[in-house]
Amino acid sequence: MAIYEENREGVSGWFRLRRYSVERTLYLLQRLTGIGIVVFAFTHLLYTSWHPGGWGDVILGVLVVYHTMNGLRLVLTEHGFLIGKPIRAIYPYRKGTLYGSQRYLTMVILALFVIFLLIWSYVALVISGG
Amino acid sequence: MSVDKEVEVKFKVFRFNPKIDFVPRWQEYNVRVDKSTTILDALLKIKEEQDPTLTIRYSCRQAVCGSCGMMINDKQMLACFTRVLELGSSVVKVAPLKNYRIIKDLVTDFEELFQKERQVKPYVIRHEVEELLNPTGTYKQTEDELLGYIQFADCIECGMCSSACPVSATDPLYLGPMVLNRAYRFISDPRDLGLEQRLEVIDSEHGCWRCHFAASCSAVCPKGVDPAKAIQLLRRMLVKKAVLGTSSSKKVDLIPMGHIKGKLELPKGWQ
Repeated sequence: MAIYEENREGVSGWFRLRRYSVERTLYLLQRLTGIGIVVFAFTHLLYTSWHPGGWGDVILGVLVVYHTMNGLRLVLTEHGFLIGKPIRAIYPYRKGTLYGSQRYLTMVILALFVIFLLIWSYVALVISGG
Repeated sequence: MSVDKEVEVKFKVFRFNPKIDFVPRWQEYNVRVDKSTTILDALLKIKEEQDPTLTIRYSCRQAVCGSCGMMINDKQMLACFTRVLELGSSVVKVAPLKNYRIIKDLVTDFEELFQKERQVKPYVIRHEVEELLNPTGTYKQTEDELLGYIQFADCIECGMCSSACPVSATDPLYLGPMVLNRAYRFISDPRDLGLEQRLEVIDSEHGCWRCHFAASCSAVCPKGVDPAKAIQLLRRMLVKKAVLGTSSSKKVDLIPMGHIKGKLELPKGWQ
């Protein structure tokens, strides 16, 4: 059968996270939140300025804040910043994209994600909702 | 020979011959291994003692040739570079590399991958035809210039990075980390002048802009090459070129060497 012969993972490959580095999980979340935001944006335009309200707004916050913060990380790393200089590959290998400054950046970004999400939730639930 | 006690490990091996079989099947073998037995040793033992029809591809047995990359417990690894007991599981699942066409059992077809590699011209390109035909010296490189690309030159073309890449999983036309790493290795070489010739392929929808930095390629690379870094540095170079509007002018000094004189002559009897 051609499909078995081809042996291509397809979209299920996105969800194969075990045994790979944490960047793959961040990548999957970036994709899923991106799709979520596009779906929201269409409804938002179709029914002018519609938004879910209450805890729905908090979930929207998770999508938007994560996508923004991780996006900032990607803008930096994908332009060659904070991934280290080319080095000689000497065993045990330490790859610049998986160690050091890139990982610290990831921690900072995730911390900022939590902080901004708390602010977003406060605005959505207390200031706007209350 | 090792005198360590042997342990019996169950191997679940992916069996599929596209010419005969309708669907793949998993076949189980029990193999006795000690702490020095690699996956490749175990598979060869199965082939010798239990089932001669099992098909595998290998060559050097020491992580240099890049022939025996396969999915070992669902992760891309070199069979010759992975010891059975270091996996720490009593059942070892062995399957062919994902995202490549299967030829038979654990053997995958790299033809498409090498076709893509040919597109990025993986060799040093220079314009001085006369010097290339009648060399008079060698090109000078500093230690720093060498460090700029030496990590990416360690690639053994095992194809595991392109197999691990989630973008390659959905886009068959994507060049993939291995090919982009090969391209960057030569683009960042101070002796190479072929950036313009490679741009059309690299600077495209299925080229380096398709990468989303999941870094799985670097996570599975057995040689410490870090293809994800090569792709990001390649993009940095292209962005710099687009923003500043200039390409870095490479200058390499030719050191005349007394013993490299005149036409290259093949030894007698060579055609």
